[in-house]
Amino acid sequence: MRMEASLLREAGEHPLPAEMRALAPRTRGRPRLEYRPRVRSADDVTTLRRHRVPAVLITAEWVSRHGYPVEFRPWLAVPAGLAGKFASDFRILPVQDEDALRDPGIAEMVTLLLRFDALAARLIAVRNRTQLDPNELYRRVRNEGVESAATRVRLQDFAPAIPKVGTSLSRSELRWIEKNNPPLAEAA
Amino acid sequence: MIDPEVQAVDAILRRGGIRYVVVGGQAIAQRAATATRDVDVMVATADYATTVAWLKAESGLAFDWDDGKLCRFRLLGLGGLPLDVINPTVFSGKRTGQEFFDFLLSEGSLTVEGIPYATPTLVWYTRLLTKRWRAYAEKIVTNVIDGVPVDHLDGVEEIARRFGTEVEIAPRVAHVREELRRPEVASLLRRP
Repeated sequence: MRMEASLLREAGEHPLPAEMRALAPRTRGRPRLEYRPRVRSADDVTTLRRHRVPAVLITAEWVSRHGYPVEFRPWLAVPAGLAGKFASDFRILPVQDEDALRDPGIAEMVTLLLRFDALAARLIAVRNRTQLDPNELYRRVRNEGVESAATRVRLQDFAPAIPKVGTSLSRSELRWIEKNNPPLAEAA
Repeated sequence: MIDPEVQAVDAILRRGGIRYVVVGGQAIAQRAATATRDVDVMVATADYATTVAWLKAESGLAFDWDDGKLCRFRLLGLGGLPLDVINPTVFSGKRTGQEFFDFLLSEGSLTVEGIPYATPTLVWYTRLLTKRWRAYAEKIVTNVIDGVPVDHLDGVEEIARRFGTEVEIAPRVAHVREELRRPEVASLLRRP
């Protein structure tokens, strides 16, 4: 047995644009047609969000703009229960804490980055410290269950209540990473 | 497309007739996401001193420091971006720097648009052999999540056996493998 979640259109709600509706493989005996949102661009993600689907596109541009110049293919962060429900060329990042995707700020993005690039998470936290709410960061890290990654890059520096799980990189290593990866304005 | 930073360094080194291989982040960037824009190049041990002397005379570069193993310059036309020239003896273990450089040229690099880049195996080996290896282990995990095949770690162990650095490398590779087994990482590796 497995749990399954679905995206359903509510009464009175406009459907997704036709070009964003990919027909899901039909299961024998299933009475209704099932569609999967087709997500090919940032605009598609915006459309999804307009339809109250909590999806976030994590891009290198966003991370670079916030102080860590980096290149990577975008990740489409979606609730874990819906991870298999999208037709997309973007890499899917299944997120436990669905609420973190509703209106993500720095704390949420730092937490999401911990999933695939902990050093990026650290540098974004360092370089956006004034906008980083410690309580929010604590809550998001706990909800997502990424205490171990948070500990490796010492996010307790920003939210001391985050439980320490496992080992941390030394402060000198973290300083070295920061020094060797200046923000764009300094690097240019 | 060649990055402008690499192109600038290539032009300078070609003018001096210096044989080199791009290592570090710019080499990894051929295969995966990377954060570094600075350029690291390895030259033959016998060419190290002459390369440093040649680069010191280059008008587009500012000399920073040299400890005989690594020499740092700044690319003036690119906002002072670091150019590190690396002596292969740092990584050659029980063999000579020249042997390591020969290995790098023959088996540890690929030429893309005329530029020789170290393979991920070679870059990971050099990274895990430095004193900052834990931070680099973190980067290797990110590389694997980004699609660089984990099999390159087997290659790292092979290079270590070849150059007699297994004692240092084995526990560090084991550390990376352990990090890759963490559930939140493993779940991303299973996905397409």
